[in-house]
Order: sequence, then C-alpha cells, then structure tokens
Amino acid sequence: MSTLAYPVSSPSPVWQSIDQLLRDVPGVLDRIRDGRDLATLARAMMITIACGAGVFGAAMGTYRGEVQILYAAVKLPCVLLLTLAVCAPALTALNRAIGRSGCLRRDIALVLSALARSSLVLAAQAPIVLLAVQTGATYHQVVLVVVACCALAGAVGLGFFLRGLRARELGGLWTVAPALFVVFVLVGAQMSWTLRPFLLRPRTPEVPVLRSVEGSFFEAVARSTLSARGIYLRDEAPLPTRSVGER
Amino acid sequence: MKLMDLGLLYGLLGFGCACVMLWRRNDVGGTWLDAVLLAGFWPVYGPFLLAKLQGSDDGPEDSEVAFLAALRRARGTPLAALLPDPQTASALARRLRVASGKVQEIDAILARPEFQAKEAVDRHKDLIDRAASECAVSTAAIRIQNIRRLQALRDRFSRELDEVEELLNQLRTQAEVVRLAGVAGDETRDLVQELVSRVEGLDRMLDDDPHLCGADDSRRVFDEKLARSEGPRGDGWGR
Repeated sequence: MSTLAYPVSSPSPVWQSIDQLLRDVPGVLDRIRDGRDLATLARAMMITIACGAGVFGAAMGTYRGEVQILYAAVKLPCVLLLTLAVCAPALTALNRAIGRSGCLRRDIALVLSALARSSLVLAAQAPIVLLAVQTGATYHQVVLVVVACCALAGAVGLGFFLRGLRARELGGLWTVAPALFVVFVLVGAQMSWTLRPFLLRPRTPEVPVLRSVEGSFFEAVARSTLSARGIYLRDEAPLPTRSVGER
Repeated sequence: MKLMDLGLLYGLLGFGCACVMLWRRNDVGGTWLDAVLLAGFWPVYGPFLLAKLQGSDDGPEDSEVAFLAALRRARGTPLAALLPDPQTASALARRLRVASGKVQEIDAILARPEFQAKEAVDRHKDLIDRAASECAVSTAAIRIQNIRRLQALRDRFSRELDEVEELLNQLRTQAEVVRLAGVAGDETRDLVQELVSRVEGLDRMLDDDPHLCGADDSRRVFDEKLARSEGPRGDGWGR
C-alpha cells in the first residue's frame, strides 16, 4: 500500500487529500478500495472540482467579461458534479449487473477523484485560454482552445478512472468502462447544454445566466451539421450581423 | 415535469437534506461547508454523510476487497505463478461476498422479534403446559428448529470466513517474505491452495448443511400434523 507521510503541521485532512491526489495516486486508489475515510476524501474532491473547474470557467468567462466570469465559474463545476450525480448510480448498477463488486460510496469516490484530477488539469490550462483571449483570438478559435483543454483534462481523468477500476477488480473492466464512458458523455453533453452559455461573444448585449431550453444537445448537433452543409432551418441567426472591427 | 419543476424539486430535497444534517450535526460531525455541499449536490455527498450517520464509513475492509487486495499484492512477487488467474480470483471473491452477505442477512433475520430463540422456547413450553393442540405445539417446535438452523448456519459461515481471513493475513506476510527472499517454498504453495479451496468450499456449504437438508422433512411432518388435526377438508389447504 502506497501512502505518504504528512507533516504534523498539515492544515486539514481536506488539504491532505488534495495533496495525496496530486502526489500519490496509488494511495488514493488504495484508500477508495479499502473504504477509508471516504467522506473526507469526497469533501476534498468536491472542493477541488469547485475550485479547479471554477478557475477554468472564469477564464472562459473573460472572453465576454463582466458578470459572465462569475456565471461560468459557478456553472462549470455544477456541470461536472450534476453529471456525476446522475451517472454514479449507473456505475454501481453496471458493476453489480456484471458481477463485479459495486459499492455506491466507493464508486462515487472514484469518479469524484477522477473528476477532481481533471479539474486540476483544467485549472492548470486556464492561462492558455486567458492567453488566447488576450491575443485577440476569434470566437471559434477560443472554442477550439477550450475543447482541446477539456479533451486533455478528460483524458487524464479517464486514465485515473480506468486505473481505479482495474485496481479494484479486473473482470468485466472493458464492459463497465466503455458503458459508463458513453453514459457520462451523453449526460454530460446534455447537462452542459442545459447550463449553457459558458463562452459568450463580446458583442452579446446581455449576459443570460441560462439560455432557454431549445431542444437537446443532440438536436443542436444535428442542426449544426445541416447548417454546415448549407441547409438552414432558421431565416436568420439570433445575433445581429457582425460589424467591422468586432471579434 | 418541466426542467424548472425538476430543478425546484432537486433544490427542495437538497435544502431538506442540509436541514436534517444540521439538525443531526453532532451525530454526523458536519460543518456549514458540509451543509452547503449537501444542499447543492445531495446525490453525490449524501451517501457519505449517511454512512457516517450509520457508523459504517470507516469500518473494516470487507472480505472480498481484502481477498483481491491480498492477491494483488502477492502478484508482484515470485508467488505470482502460484496464484489463480484474474477471472478465477474474481469468481472466488464473489463467493466471499455472497458468504459475507449471508452472515449479515442471517444476523438481520435473527434480530427480528419472531426469531428470538428464548422467546420461542418459552412459547413452546407455555403451549405444552397449557395442553394446547398438537398442531400449535409442533408449529412452535418447528419455529425453534428453524431458529437453531439459522444460528448454526451463521456460525458455520462466520467460522469459515474467519479462517479465510486468517489465511489472507498469512498470505500477505508470506508475500512479503517471498518478495524479499525471492523464492516461493512448498509451504507457500500449500497456503495458496488451501486459501483457494476454502473459498471454493464456501458456496458448497449451503448444499452440505445437514440442518438445511432436513428442512423439507420438517415441513412435511408439519403439514401432515396440520392435516390430521383439522380432519378431512378436501381443499388441499396446508399442502
């Protein structure tokens, strides 16, 4: 079992858990597998997600500025945690269904830790988004930067999650992991669609907390695909036409 | 239900959970931060606080986890060649889980008022003293029998699990010795074989249990007595 010795002056168990997540991944996985002090771990991971994803959300919000910084900083952690709230029982059910050991608390702790690690990676990449915004990147360029950052963070989190599943039990790993991945992607996509906007054009006159629910994420993807092929379902775009000198 | 209604319901439930947590703050050991996290994300954080409330959060690791962890530790040593493959290990671990679950299930059943052995014996004596009907006396006797069967079964499972746990502890220490010494001796091979056969034997226990084999006979005797005491009814009741 891999554990780190912490100095006596460590401020709190929450900070110790975050430190452990950064420096001692096998120790975190052992702790989850053995079910040791999971409440403290969960609290620490939720705080990490709130801070890490919040920083990245705030960086996205700077593209529009003003109150959108706050909105995006609050909404991005909510997307991650609410998606987890919907998906974690599915992980336990999947584990149980195929005969693996399934424990709701351990499963939630594992996904929380994976998301917390992703959030830390997101926070580390926030300066890249800020740099893109400050160097005058266009809306679509910033979107691409954000997508690349999220993809990298997601890959790190997925790696952690797979390690956690493998550490607990090998059998059925390649059934549970892809199934949960699909569930998480679908729920996460719809959740982020429901809590949009995160990235707003600077010319947007008013900053909404949430946009009205217009269909689903998947309908929007289908509509965008049609638009890309020159088939438009609307007479005009919802925003005013772009003026000279505007990003 | 619209999204707004769903959000409102979610928020109300979260608020309720936070209020309950603050009300039971001394039992849970929660803070205002816990209340905020619970109010916002009760499906995620709730199970952890609930476990704290039930006192099951920091309990000992269960036998299945201990078994897999012991095998995993031993896998990195020269013992690896003697260990069962991952699929077999998972199947063995499942048997342990079933056995542990059975002990817990039986404990829960035996905790019910109608499964108290002393009360059942007293009731049986009372019926005999009062010269109650044969059917009532034999029913009370069967109840005592069933309680004793459950107790015997629980003891057997528990004993087996204790022995498996001791073997796991031995395997852990043996793995460290082999890791440092570099060679697995005969006694290590025997230890692994014994551990595997013990776990394999757990799911045969139910079939082998002599008490359970007699369960159908008891039921038949009870039915016959009941039919005799009630006389010919012809409606098949009691069969």
